[in-house]
Amino acid sequence: MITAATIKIKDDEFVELKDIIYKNAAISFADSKKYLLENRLSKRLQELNFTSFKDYIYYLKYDAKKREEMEVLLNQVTINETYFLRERAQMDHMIKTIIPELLNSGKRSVRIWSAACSSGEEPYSLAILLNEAGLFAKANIEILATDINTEVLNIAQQGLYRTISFRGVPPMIQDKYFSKDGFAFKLDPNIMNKVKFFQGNLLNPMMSVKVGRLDIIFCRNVLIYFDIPAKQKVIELFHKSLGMPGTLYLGHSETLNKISESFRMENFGGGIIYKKI
Amino acid sequence: MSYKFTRYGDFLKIMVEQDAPFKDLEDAAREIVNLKDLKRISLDLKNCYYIQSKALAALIAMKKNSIKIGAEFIVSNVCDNVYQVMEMANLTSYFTIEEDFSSYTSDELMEKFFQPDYADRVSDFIAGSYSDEFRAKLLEILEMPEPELKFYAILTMGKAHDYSAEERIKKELDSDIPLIVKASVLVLGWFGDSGSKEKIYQVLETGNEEVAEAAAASISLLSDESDAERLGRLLSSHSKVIRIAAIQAMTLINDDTCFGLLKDALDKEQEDDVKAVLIRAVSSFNKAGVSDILIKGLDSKSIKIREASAGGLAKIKAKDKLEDIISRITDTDAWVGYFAVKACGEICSATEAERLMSSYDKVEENVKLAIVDALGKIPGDFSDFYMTILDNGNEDIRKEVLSSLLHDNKENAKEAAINLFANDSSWIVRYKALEILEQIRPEGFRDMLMARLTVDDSKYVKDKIQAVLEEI
Ligand SMILES: C[S@@+](CC[C@H](N)C(=O)[O-])C[C@H]1O[C@@H](n2cnc3c(N)ncnc32)[C@H](O)[C@@H]1O
Repeated sequence: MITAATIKIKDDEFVELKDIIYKNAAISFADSKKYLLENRLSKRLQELNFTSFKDYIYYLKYDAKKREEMEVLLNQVTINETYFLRERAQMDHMIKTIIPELLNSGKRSVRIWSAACSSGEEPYSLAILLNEAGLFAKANIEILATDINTEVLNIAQQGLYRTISFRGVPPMIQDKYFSKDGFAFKLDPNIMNKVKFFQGNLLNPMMSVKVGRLDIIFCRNVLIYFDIPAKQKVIELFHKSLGMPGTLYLGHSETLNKISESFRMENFGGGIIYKKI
Repeated sequence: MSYKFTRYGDFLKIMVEQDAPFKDLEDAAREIVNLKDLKRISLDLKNCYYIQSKALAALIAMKKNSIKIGAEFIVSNVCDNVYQVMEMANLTSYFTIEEDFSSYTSDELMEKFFQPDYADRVSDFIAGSYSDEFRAKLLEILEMPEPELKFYAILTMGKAHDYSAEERIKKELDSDIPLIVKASVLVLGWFGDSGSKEKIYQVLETGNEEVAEAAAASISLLSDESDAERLGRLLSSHSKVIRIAAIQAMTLINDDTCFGLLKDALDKEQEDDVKAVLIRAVSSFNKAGVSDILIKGLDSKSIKIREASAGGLAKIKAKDKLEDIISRITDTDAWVGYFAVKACGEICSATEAERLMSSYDKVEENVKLAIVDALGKIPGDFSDFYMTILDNGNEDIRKEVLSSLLHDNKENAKEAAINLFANDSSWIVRYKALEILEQIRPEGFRDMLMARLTVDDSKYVKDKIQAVLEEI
C-alpha cells in the first residue's frame, strides 16, 4: 500500500487468517505471501478501528455481520489478473475442433462454463470468438461464468475495460467489439448478453446444482492457488458436471498429474486438453 | 554442465539451466561440501519451468550439505509448476523458498509490473538497485500506452528519488487516466515539488476517488502554514470524497489549526461515516480535549461513530477517562465493549482489573477475549482467574489465557502450555502453546516436539514443530 501505513501480521495471526481463507475459498497462501495480506488488508483494518490482525480475525469470527465481512476479505485476497484472449490457442481449439465435433454428433445446444472468470475477459473472449466463427447461428450456445469475488463480477457485468485487459488483442477485434468510453472501453452489448454471470465458490458443494450439465469447462489459472486436496475436490466437481464427451481446459502451468485419473490428457499441438473418461 | 556457481563473499548463488539433468544437480550437491566460509547458499530455479521428481532428491542433498558446512540453504524463484511438484512431495515447508529479483534481467522485471501480486515488490527492488539501465527502461515505459506499467514506472522512479525524471513526471499530472495521475501526484509529493501543489489541489478537487487519497498525502507533504485553512474550507464540500480527503491531509499535517478545524467539522458534519472518519482523525492528535470528544462520541446513535470513538480511546490510552471507559465494558454494542477493554489493558492497574474480571460473565465472546488479553497487559498476576476459564469451550479463550499467563506467571504458563500442546483439540491452541514453549524452552522440549510431530493432525502445527526443531 502506498498511502496508508501497513499493519504487520504476526506469525500466529498469519496462520489463522490463512486457514480462514483456505476454508472459505480453498486458496493457499505460502509464507512468502504474508506481505500480500498486510498490503491488501491494512486499510480495511483501519476502517474498522483495528490495530492488529488479531482484532480482525475476531471480527471475522464473532461479529454478527461476519458473512458480509468474509465477502470483503475474499474480494481483497484473490488474485484476479486476466486479459482478453489469454492462452488463445485453447479457445481456438474449442472453436475449431471441440464444438464442430459436438455439432457433428448431432448436438444442437452446447453449454460452456468459465469457472473462475475474474472480471469476465475469459468468457467474453469465448463469446467473441464464437461470434467470429458464426457458431451462435448454428447452435444454441450458453456460456456460464462464475467467480468467488463479487467485485470482479461487477466489473464483468458492466463490461467496461482498461487497456491492461487488451494485451495482445488484435486491433481488429478490439475496434469491432469495443467502443471507447472515457479512458475505458465498453464491450458490445450483444456479446455481453451471451454470458451469464453468477457468484460461486468452486468448493461449494451446491456448485454442481447451480451450473448443471456442461460440455466444456474452462478453469484456468486458479487451481495454482489451491492445495492438492482442494484441487481434487474441484476436479471431481468438474467430472460430475461434464457430460460425455466432456472437455476441460486448464491453465498452461496447471496439470492433473497426481490429482485425478478420471480425465485423459491430450496434446492438440497448441496446448493440452483433458477429456472426461 | 547445466549449473553455475557464483560467489559473492559468503553468499553462493547456484544458477540452474532449463531442463538441467538431475545428475548435474547431484554433482552440484556434492560440490557444496568442499566449499568454505559460506553463510548462505541460494539455488536459483528461475530458468526451470519444470522439475523431475528425481531432481528433488538432489535438492534435499544440497540442503543437507549446506547445513554440514554451516550455511543456510534457500531455493529461489520457484515457478508455479515447480512449486506444485514440490508440494506433491510435501517439500514446500522443508525448503525456505524465496524470491530473488536480482537474477532477472531488467526486461523480465518490467514484465512483472503486469502481475499485481509482484508489481509492488518488483518496484521496490528496482528502486533499491537503481541504475542507468533501469532508468532508461522506465523512461521507455513512460512513452508506452499501458497505464498499469506507467503507474509502476512512475512510482519506481519516485521511490528511487530519480529527480532527473521530475519534469517528465509532472507532465503526467495532465493525463486523463486517474491511475497515472495518482502515481504522479504521489511522486511529486515525495520529491517535495511545491511548484505542483496547486495542480494537486485541482486533482483533489475533482473528487475522483481513485486519486483523492494520494492528493491528500502529497498536499500534506508539501504543506506550509496556509494549507490548513485551505483544506479546512474543503471540509464543507458537497463531495464526500473531497471531505474525506481533506480530513486525511489535515490528519497528516497534524498542527493546531488542523485540530481546531477538524473539531469544528465534527459539529457540522451530517453523514455518519464521515463523522467516524473525523473521530479517527481527531484521535490521532495528541491534544487536550481529545478524550472528551471521544467520550461524547460514545453516546452517538450511530454504531460506526461509537466504535470509532471507543477505538480512539483505546488508541490514545485516555488515563483521565478511566471511569467512563470502564463503564462501557458492558456496552450493548460488543465492539464498543471490546475497544473499552482494550483501552483498559493499556491504562488500568491491578485495582481496576477486578472490575474487568467481574464483568467477564456478563459480556459477549469477543469482549471476553479482550478481557483476558487486557489482564495479561495489566501489572499483576491473575493466574487464579485464568485457571477458572482454561477449560473453556471456546478455543480462542484458551489461547488468550495461555498468552496472558505467560505475562503474569511463567511457571503456570509452562505447565498449561505443556498440557495444552499435548492434549488440546484445537490446533489454534496447540499452535499458541508451542509458541510459548518455544520461548520458555522447558526441559525435555525436544522430546515433546518429536512426540507431537508424529501424532499432530494439523499441518500448521507440524510445520511449526519442524521449524522449531531445526532451530534448536
Ligand atoms: C487469476 S484469475 C484467472 C482468470 C481467468 N480464468 C484467466 O485465466 O485469465 C483467478 C480467479 O479465480 C478466482 N477464485 C479464487 N478462488 C476461487 C474459488 N474458491 N472459487 C471460485 N473462484 C475463485 C479469483 O477470484 C480470480 O478471479
